[in-house]
Order: sequence, then C-alpha cells, then structure tokens
Amino acid sequence: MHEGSITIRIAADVKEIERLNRLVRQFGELHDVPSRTLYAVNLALDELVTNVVLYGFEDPAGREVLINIATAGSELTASVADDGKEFNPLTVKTPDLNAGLAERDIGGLGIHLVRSLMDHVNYQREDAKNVLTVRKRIR
Amino acid sequence: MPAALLFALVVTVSALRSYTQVSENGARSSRAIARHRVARLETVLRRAQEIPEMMAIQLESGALDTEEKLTAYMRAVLERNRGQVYGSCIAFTPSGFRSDLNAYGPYYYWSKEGLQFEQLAKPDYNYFQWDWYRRPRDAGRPVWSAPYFDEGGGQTLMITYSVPIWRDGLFWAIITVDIELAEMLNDVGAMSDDERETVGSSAYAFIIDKDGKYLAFPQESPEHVQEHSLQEKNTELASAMLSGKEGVMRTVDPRDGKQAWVAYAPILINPMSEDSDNAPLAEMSLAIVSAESPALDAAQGLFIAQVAIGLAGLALLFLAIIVVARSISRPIRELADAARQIADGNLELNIATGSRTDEVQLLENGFNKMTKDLRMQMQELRYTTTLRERMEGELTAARNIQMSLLPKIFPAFPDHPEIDVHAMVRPAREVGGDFYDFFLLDNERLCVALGDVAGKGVPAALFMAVSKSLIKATALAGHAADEIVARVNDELCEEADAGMFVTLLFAILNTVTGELEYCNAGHLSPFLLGPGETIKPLGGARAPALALATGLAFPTVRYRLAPGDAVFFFTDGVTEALSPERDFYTPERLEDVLRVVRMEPVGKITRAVMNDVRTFCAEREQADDISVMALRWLGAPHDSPPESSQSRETQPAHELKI
Amino acid sequence: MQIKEEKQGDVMIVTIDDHLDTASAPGFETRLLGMIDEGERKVLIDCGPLEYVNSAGLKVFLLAAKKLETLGGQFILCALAPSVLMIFEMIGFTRIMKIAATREDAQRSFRAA
Repeated sequence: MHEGSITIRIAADVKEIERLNRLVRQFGELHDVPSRTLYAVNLALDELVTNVVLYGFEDPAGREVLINIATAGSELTASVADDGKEFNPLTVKTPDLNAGLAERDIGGLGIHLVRSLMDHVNYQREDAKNVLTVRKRIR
Repeated sequence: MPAALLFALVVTVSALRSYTQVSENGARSSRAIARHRVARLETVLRRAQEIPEMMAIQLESGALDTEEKLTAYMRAVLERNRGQVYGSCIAFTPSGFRSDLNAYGPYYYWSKEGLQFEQLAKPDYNYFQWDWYRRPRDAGRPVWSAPYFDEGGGQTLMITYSVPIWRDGLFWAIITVDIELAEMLNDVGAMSDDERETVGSSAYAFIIDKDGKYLAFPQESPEHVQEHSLQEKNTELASAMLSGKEGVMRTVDPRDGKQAWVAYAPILINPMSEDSDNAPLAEMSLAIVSAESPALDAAQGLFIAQVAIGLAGLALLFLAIIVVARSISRPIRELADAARQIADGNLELNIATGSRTDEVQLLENGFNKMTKDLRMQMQELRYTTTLRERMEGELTAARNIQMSLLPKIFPAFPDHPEIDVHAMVRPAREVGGDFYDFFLLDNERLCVALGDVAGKGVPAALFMAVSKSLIKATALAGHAADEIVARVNDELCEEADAGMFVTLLFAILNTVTGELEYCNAGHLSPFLLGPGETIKPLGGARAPALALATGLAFPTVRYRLAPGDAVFFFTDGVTEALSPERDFYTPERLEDVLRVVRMEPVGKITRAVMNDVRTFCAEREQADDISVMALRWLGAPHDSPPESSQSRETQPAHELKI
Repeated sequence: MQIKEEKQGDVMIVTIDDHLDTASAPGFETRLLGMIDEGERKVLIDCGPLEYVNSAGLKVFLLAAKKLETLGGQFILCALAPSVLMIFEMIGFTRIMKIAATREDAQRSFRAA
C-alpha cells in the first residue's frame, strides 16, 4: 500500500453514497489497499455517512459531508466531518448480541458494525463540526 | 410411359370390378334359387313332422291304452294324410306297451291295394337294432333318417321321421312316419322359366344324401340313381355340399365334365348326435348346375368390351402424347441445357428454339429476359463489392495513417525531467477526428494541442491530419500563441467543406517559469489538478471553433502553474460517453476520478480516466473517439524537482491576463 | 434492486441482487414483509449474488425474521459470501437466524422443522 490521500465532498443525499463508495474503491485500488481492508473501510464509511445524511441535519438540502481518506505507513485513516447537529454516534447503545430474536433491538446495528470493523473509532466536536475518525491497520 | 401404364391399370381394375359385380349378382341369384327349392322341400317335410308329434301327444296322454284304440288312431291318421305320409309305425320298448309283450310295433302303410298293416315285432325283425329306433332313442329327440330305398314296403325312395316318447321319465316308444321322397325329388330337376333366365336353359338340379349318393337326378330313375355318388365325378363339390354349407362355386359339371356354375344348399340339418361327431351334418343337399349363365356371360362380355375400349383409348392417348411431346420436349431440352450453362456462369447465352408453340415462345422470352437481368445484377454486385472492399481497405488505411500521425512514444521528453506528458486516443469504430500533439518549440517552451474534428469518416480523418500538421508547422514558424491559432483557422477555412470545423485546446508551457498560455477554441475546458486538493476547470480564453470563418481572433489566457501541478485535457468523447442505461459520464464523474489519481504520474492519470470510462460504458459500444492528455510541470529545471507524488510545496498561483 | 421470487412447494425462495444498501433496502423491506403478510410462512433468502450489505439491509432481515417467528413461520438465509457472513457474525445474526450453506440444506431444514 502506498501513501495517498483524498478528500471527497458529497451532498447530504443518500444517492451520493454510491458515488462515495466508488471513489473509496478507486482510491483503494490505486493505492493497493488490500481488498479486505478496503471492504471494511467502505462499509464503515457507508454507515457513518448514511447516519449523518439521514439524521444529522434538520434540512439536508444544500448541506455537505466531508470525507477524507489517507494511507500512511501501514495504517489507513478516514474521517467524516459535517456541520450538522451535534451528535456523537458512539453514545448509541450497543445491541445485545445475547438477546433472542424477539428481544433483539433493530437500532444500533450501523455503529456496532463500524466499531467491529475498525481498529479505532474517535469522535470529536471541533469548530461546530462533528468529526468522526476511524483507523484501521493493514495486516 | 408411366401415364400409359397407369391408364392400363385403371381400365383393368374397373373392368374387373364390373365383372366381379355382375358375376356376384349372378351367383347370388343362383344361390337364391337353390335355397328356394330347398325351402319348398323342407316345408313339405316339416308338415310331415307334425304328424308323429301329434301322435306322440295322444299316446303320452294315455288315451290309446288298448290295441284297438291305438290301431284305430293310426289308421285315422294315415287316412287323413294320404299322399304325404306313406306309412307310420309305433315301436315300443320291451314290455312297453304290455308287460307280456317283449316287442310291439304296429305298422300301417299305403300300397296300391290300400292301407296295409304289419306287425314289426317279428321274430326275424328285431327293430330294436334299427337306426330309425336307436338314433332317436339315443339322441333323446326326433331325427330324420337318411333317405333310403324301401324294398320291403313301398319299393320307393323314402325318408323317415322318428320321434321318441317317454312315460314317467323313462323312454317308452318311437313313433315314425315315412315320407315318400321320389315324387318330390322328381320335380327338382325341372326349372321354371324365371329360373332359367338366371341360371340358363340347360340348368338342372340334383340332390345327394349324406354319403354323397344321388337321391335325385334328372332323367334317372330312383332305383338307379342311388347307385352312383357325386364323389365319383366331383369330390370338391361333394365335400362342400356334405359339409352342410350353402354356396356357389365354379366347378366340374358331374354330368358332362365341363366347367359350370354350381349353387348348392343343405336340406334338413340334423343337430349332431353324441355318437357321430364326424358325420356330415346334412341329411341331404341340393345343387343347381348351370353350365352357362346369361348374367355371367354378360359380365364377361362387358369385361372384354371394357378392356378393348380401354386399350384402344390408351393407344390413341399414347399416339397423341408422342406427337405433342415431340413438339415440346425438344425446346424444353434446349432450355434445360441453357439453364445449366447459365448456372455455370455463361451469362451471354441467348435462346432461340424456333418453336412456334405459344407456351414455348413465352418461356423463351422469359428466359432471355431473366438472363439479361441476372447479368446486370451481377455486374452491379461486383462493382459495389469492389467499392466497399476498397472503402473498407481505405478506411483501415486511413485509421492507421491517422494513428501513426500521433506521437506515441513515452516518456516523450526524457531529457526534460521538468515536464511529463502522456496522451491516449481510443478511437471509435469509425474513423473519427480526435487528435493531439506535443512538441518542443525550443529548449524552454513546450507546445501541446488537443483537437476534435467535427464529423466522422474519411473526410474528418483527412481534416484531422491537415489540422494537426498545420498547427505544428505554424507553431514552429515562431509566432505567438494567439497568432498561431488565428493563422491555422484561416488556412483551415480554405480546406474545409461546409459544416466542418475543429475544436481545439492549444497551449504553450514555459518550462522554466511554469507559465501556461492557452487558448480554448470551442473546446471543453481542461482540468487543473492544482495545489492542495484543487481540481478545477481552467476557464477563460473561450474562442469559437476553427474553420468556421476567417479573420477571427483567438485570445489566450496565462496561468502560472505551481511545481507539481498537472493539467488534464480531454475531448467530449469522455464526458459524453453513455452508459448502458443511457446516462452521460459527466464532468463530475471525471472530476471524481481525477481527485483520486491527481497525485499519480501522468500516465496513470490518463489510464485511470480511460479505464473509468470503459467501466462506465460497460458493453455499450463507443460512439465517439475518446482522447485524454495529462501534462505536469515539475518545476524549473535547475530546482531540485520534488517527487511528483509528494509534491506539497505550493506557490501562490497567479492568473495573468493579457 | 432486482429480486427474483420462486415458489418451491410451500417455500418462497427470494434471490437478491449484489447490493443491499440504504438505497435498495426500503423497496426490499416492502416486498419481503409484504409477502409475509400475504401468507408466506417459509421464506428462504438466496444470498448467492450478494456482495455488499449495510445496516439498512441487515435491518430488513431482522424485521423479516422477527415477523416470521411471531407467526410461527421459518426464515432461512443461504449461500452467503464469506465477507457477508463475517458481517452477520459481527452483529450476532448468526446466533438468532438460521443460515444454510445451500438451497438444498435450507430445504431440508424447512422439512425437518
């Protein structure tokens, strides 16, 4: 994997997420990111950005979400930044994996996936923006 | 020939059918006559049956319990039936009539002297053994005897009907009546006039018994008749008659040995008794022999006549066919030969058979016209095929020339590490009009151009070649950028046909300062892959396309590149590429790709865009040439050039305007 | 998203597309829960073509599984790709949903239950 970074701006629209996936994939292929890692990063970003797009804004029209991906050394770092409502997705309750089918909650699946797929997940509120950073080591 | 055979076959079949029809009718009639006669005989005999049956009823009632009553009754019966019944007897079982009488068999019969009596129970006449007693007793039912010649009583041909009776469930007695056959049978030989119409005037009838012995034969006395049997003269007929069947056959006339028709029918079929499985079923059988049959003779005559007519007709037909065929077949043969020659390729052939038949004339004319049309078509086809092949060959040649005109060696300027250029064209199926060029004007200036000739095909290709050469020539002549474009435009106007034009991106890069002077003649703005993560179109300097009108101005814009900046040129084949779902590729998607690869070497940038377009288009066929070119300035030659992929130093970018 | 529906006996087999994400999940949810409302009690999801699924799609599976359980029906997924199976593991679906390797295995499960 070689070094590189990309900043992607997308409109706050679920249709843009497909474009995001494509760009992430192209970036990964270009920088020789192993496919497993790329798959995990892609899915994690999908979940994070979808969350923001669907729930982060009162009125998503005209709003943007900024995604940055960088590869350095043997680590891949990605961040999702938005200037919407202050919200820390990490505070969402983890689903109870021991619950039976009937008791299982529908919510919290996305964030749980992000946590499981990534090595580090970090939330910061800076300059009136939500910034969620994830890191994954390439093995 | 086959027609003739078929005809003959048809005639024969029809004649045969009518013959068989008529003869069948004749046969049916003969059979009918035989059956009729038999029926007459049987009627008489049946009437005779009733007498003993009536007597049986009387006897069984017990009313005739004395000899006087019995004999008186019998006399009465015989009196009443004189002429039909010759005699009658009642034969009792031992001690049947009277316990003291071992046998008792009163018998009455007619003779010339009148009614006679005889007692059959004589010492030398053991009637218990006789057939007329035994058979009905064993069979348990009445039986007709075989006809016989009665020497003892009537001296005549007779037949006896024997009826068994029982008392208290035990066999008791036999009642017989004798019928005189001779007179009846004597009538047999004579044919009525009606019958003779069917069976012929020389027809006759005879009767045989179950052994085949004659019982009645014309002009034969009864005594002598029985001396002969049918088998002597005709076993085939005998076995047929004796089998109890009725029928008609063509066989030997037993009288004169000649072929004749014989219709036969059985008389009196006795049901088979248990002890004689093989005995013939019929007691008697009647046959009518007709040597000639007017009906059948007529049929034969008809048959012969039909065949004769048929053959004559056939001969005539044959003759006619030959005549006609001769007048047709020759010209047809000629035509067939001619057709074969034409198929082989000789289209110059013309037919003249000299036949005067209308049909043949028409055929001739049609044929000749056909070959003329065929000739013309072949010529046309050859012409267009050659033309097409030539055109395709030319197109391929043109494409090859076109591609060979474009610089393809990379890295283009290995001696100038401050610049990196890469370009590719993916041509559409038809020869398109995209071109690019880059060349050094001098040691410090690089000239790049990317253009798109409107239209497709050979004219566009030619125009493309002209444009490209013109640009290079004019540039190398040392003019300023705007001047170069203006001059090229004027020249192209001379060359261009109506409606042809060229869109062009033309730029000169100062490899020392990084200043890019460019002009956009009707083309899409190139993308600047700038400092930070800037990706933006290089705007300004918009001018009309070339070859539209002379004397037009083509202003340029200058832009100072930072070291590491790249400029991406492309034709509308990129942004207007269509996906299978009919979506355009769009500049936005291009921007996305550029964003991903912006730090990569120019070769990777161009290839990444090409690949993304190909992925986007999938199986949809490429409609237009796709051309891309990436140019990167890595900084002044004397500066230590930063690695292209790590360029992070930025200098403020100036946009200078003239 | 294109889904293919085929009925084999009393089992409804649904073959899904390669992407089950935020855009395609709502349509899939309507169809899948709809067929359960229409009376299907044995539902098999053939995930052979599936390459990518996110939480939106996973939510639809969970809803369908829950619904069928309350109605006394059966819900089985088969032919999951390794990457998709990994996702299912992560969120614990493998504990609460029936996952079969092939259609035949799934059919046997339906019959045995």
